[in-house]
Amino acid sequence: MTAGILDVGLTGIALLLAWRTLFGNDLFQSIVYFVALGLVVALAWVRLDAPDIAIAEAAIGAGMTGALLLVTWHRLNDAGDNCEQVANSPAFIAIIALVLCLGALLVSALFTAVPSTGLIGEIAQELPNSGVINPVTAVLLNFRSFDTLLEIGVLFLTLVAVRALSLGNSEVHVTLARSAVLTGLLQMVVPMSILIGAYLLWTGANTPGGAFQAGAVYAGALVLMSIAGSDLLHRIYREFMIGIGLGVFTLAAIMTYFSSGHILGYPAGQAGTWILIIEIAAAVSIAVTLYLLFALGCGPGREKKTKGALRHGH
Amino acid sequence: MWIELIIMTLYIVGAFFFIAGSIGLLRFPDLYCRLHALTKADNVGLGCIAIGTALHVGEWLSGLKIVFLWILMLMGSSLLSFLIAQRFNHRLNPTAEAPDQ
Repeated sequence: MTAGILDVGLTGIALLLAWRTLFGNDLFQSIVYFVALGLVVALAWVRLDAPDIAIAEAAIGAGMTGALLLVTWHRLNDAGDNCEQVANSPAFIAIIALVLCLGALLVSALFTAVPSTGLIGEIAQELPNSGVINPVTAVLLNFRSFDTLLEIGVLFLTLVAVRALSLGNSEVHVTLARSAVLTGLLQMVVPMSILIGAYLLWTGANTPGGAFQAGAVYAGALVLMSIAGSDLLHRIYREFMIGIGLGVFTLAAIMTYFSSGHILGYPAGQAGTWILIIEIAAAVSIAVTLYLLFALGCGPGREKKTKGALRHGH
Repeated sequence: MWIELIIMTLYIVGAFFFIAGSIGLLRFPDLYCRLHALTKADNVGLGCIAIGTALHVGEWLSGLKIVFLWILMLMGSSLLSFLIAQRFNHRLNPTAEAPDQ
């Protein structure tokens, strides 16, 4: 009963926040609502017994995406772009119609679909051979590891595209005025983030966690560090770190293909080790990629307006 | 029995502080007052609920973890409100230099 009220409340709040995000007049407010929506959706994932996705949603969906949107908002402000009101335009009405059709299809699917337990049985049966205990990690890095390889590839390509678009700005970092409070608190928060990230990465084999969650936590720590004015990543290491995830994953795919005849078909009994190595490399790349997406977004255009509080380091 | 009473009291006090903080956030006149309402109420409110939950869990290790979460939140929210206030301050006096550079 109480759980039902909680679920209905969460759904209601999520819908309300989504509506406010889309139909607010002020872009900044919309971004704040979007971040709040991400946190509520993370809670919804917890209620659906999917803590892996909850952590990823909170860290990437709400945290990193929120930071990226705020950077974009700043850029739009500086460029003097006015956001056009899209409501009532033909495209907008077409989108609403499409969304309604999709919603109707989903609702009808609820009533007509054959009840299915999915692949729970098969996964539980194969889990002992997967090298890990957490079924989510087993699916992501063993049963469907090719999908994850492509995902890491997509992330890599995104960064390549963003870098190509912001060529020449790559060295710009936005820095808040240095202060003892910020530095002191970061000295406590950043080591803790490193510990939490390492824990999430390691525990991914047994309990919710893994490369994406750990990478997002590290990216958050890097963003905080860069805001505080210290650039941890040396350029050469950085290039190396961007590529290592995709590189190690691809190498693993090639090696397993030649040894077992299947792409990412790990040798029997060694799956756990392979998965751990791939996850460590992927977490490093995810962290640096997410951080650079943020840092590159903070490129030019800010210095005119915000000289007092912000200055460009480097 | 007694422990449940203590837990309930902590929850109610925590909820009260959350509500008071939210009202303050909505009603206070300027940014500094709002930050005051938000952080004070948030910290105390969350603290009460965290301690209540730690008692409710019963197991000392899990309880300790929940209390640590609260301490982490204390650090996070104080850092955040400091940054917001600093930024706002700079916007009001754009010519003033940062305190130590």
